[in-house]
Amino acid sequence: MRADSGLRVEEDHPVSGEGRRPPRALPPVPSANQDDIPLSRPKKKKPRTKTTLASASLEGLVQTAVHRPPEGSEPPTKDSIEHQEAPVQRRQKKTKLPLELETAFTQKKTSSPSLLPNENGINVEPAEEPAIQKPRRKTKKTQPAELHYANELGVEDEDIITDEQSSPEQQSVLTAPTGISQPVGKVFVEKSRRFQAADRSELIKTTENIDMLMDMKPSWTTRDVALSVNRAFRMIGLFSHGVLAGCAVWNIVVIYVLAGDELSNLSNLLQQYKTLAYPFQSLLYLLLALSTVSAFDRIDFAKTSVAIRNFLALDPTALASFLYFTALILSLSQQMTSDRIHLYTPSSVNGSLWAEGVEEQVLQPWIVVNLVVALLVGLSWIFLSYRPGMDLSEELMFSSDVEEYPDKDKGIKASS
Amino acid sequence: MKSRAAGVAGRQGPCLRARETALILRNYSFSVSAWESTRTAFWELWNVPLGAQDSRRKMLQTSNYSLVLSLQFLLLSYDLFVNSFSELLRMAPVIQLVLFITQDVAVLFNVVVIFLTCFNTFVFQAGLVSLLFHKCKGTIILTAVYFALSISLHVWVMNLRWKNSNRFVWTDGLQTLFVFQRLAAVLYCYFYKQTAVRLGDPRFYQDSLWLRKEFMQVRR
Repeated sequence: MRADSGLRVEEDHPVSGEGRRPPRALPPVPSANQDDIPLSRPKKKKPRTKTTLASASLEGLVQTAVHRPPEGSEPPTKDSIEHQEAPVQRRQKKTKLPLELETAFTQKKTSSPSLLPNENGINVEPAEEPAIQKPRRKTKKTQPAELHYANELGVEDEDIITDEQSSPEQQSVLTAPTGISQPVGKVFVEKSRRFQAADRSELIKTTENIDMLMDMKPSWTTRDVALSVNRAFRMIGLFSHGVLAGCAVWNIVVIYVLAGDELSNLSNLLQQYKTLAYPFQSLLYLLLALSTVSAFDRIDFAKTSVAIRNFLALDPTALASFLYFTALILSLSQQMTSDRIHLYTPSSVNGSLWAEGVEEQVLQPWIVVNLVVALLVGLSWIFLSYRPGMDLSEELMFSSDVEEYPDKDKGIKASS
Repeated sequence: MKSRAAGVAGRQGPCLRARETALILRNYSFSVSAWESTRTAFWELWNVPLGAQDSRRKMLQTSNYSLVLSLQFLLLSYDLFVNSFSELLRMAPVIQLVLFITQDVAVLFNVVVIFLTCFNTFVFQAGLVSLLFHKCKGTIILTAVYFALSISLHVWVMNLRWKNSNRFVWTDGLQTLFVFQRLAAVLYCYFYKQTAVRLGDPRFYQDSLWLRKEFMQVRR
């Protein structure tokens, strides 16, 4: 009875993969054992229906009780079973090799001794296992195997049984839902969580076609998308560097022209510049943000060690990004003053923000900051224009990953 | 009937032998069922179908990735636009309110998108969440900080400007918060862009030696 429970465990969980395993390890059936097959076979059929393996004597009795009408006589059964047995094992031999290879690594980690009883069990009576596993194999086993191994599609044609009724006694009540395991002309492909039968030859054709397509098409991977986006952004950044530098210089020129000699005509500046101040502040932020991000991209700011090293080495790109960031902070700090200029009303008007005499006090630092921002931005533009094609982040984005591979190979070799 | 009974009697010998086999098989099946379950789990991870199926998946992945990347860049540019011009567009307080709300929603949406992109990677599906988190850590933290700064600035500004949108509302505190929020916006823009582009690395979407090694390290 202990034997029964062991088998039941295996039978109750065919999905976990053990349904596949035992038949695979089968050596070719010795011809001497062939005559045992018909005798042991009915015994194996019963556990499938009752999910228990009864003792041999009980087995026989039950078998007599259970009607097997199509079974006219013994010899035909034997013949038919032998006929089916052979291709199944031929196929199992085929599947065995790749799977052994593939599990070679994991066996080291997990309990490999489990294979030894496997071998022993087979040596004692190899014909037993296919008899147990057969019913399940058709529905469960063949499908994943054929999905995972393209080679499996190439089952020899002679293995495929086209005539479904070649063994009518197998289709009896006992075997009702399952039938026998046999390579058939269909491949079951999982589509939208259901297995659907597809023609083997067509599937081979389509997979070959896809292979051809893949080979012919220049593979446009996600990496290429990322790189092209990065390049596009670099172009935008390059554009914004220039526009920003031009805008800042134009801005400071306008301010100095409007303020007159020695900043003598500040009220005129406020009057004229009032409508321009806030839009220009907004534009400056936009361009500065773009330029800063672009400059950070170039030094690969995310890799802090590289960025700091470049900065200490007075790399022009690293310097430029630092200057951009400083300019950004300075420009943002003038937001309050810009809003004040934006809301300028002559001091004579009630509730004016600009009291008599504060104009120079407020405007002086603002003009200086604008001048500094223009200088910083202009300097950064010169630094970046010196080597416009330089982009460290693009170089480091994926190249570092390639460098990591040899180490990883070594690591795997060392661990194995 | 008689002949069948005789047949049963004749089967006694082989059946006993079969029982022996069954005993051996029991040991075998117990160890195998345990071993098989681990083996199957391994097998799923280590032997991802390569070749045609893999390249087909990559092709699909490319179009998906392009779409996601454009969405991310659209949201980033909207964020930049609002940060730049929200001060200009204050004819009515409602306009600014709507701009601020959509901006914060866009940031949230961007966070959701980056998380979904992460979940979509093979690395995540293999269970190496920590590895992926390590890559995106900076971006996620910075985005959270930026989101907090944005919300507080928006609440403050809207609170001051709700009655009269053309009022001079600036104080030193508001100015400081403004500077930090705008600086965080630039850094967020940079790091988010960086992460979004890095997630396009094909290594994250397929089986590789690198991933296997990482997986083995995690299992140990």
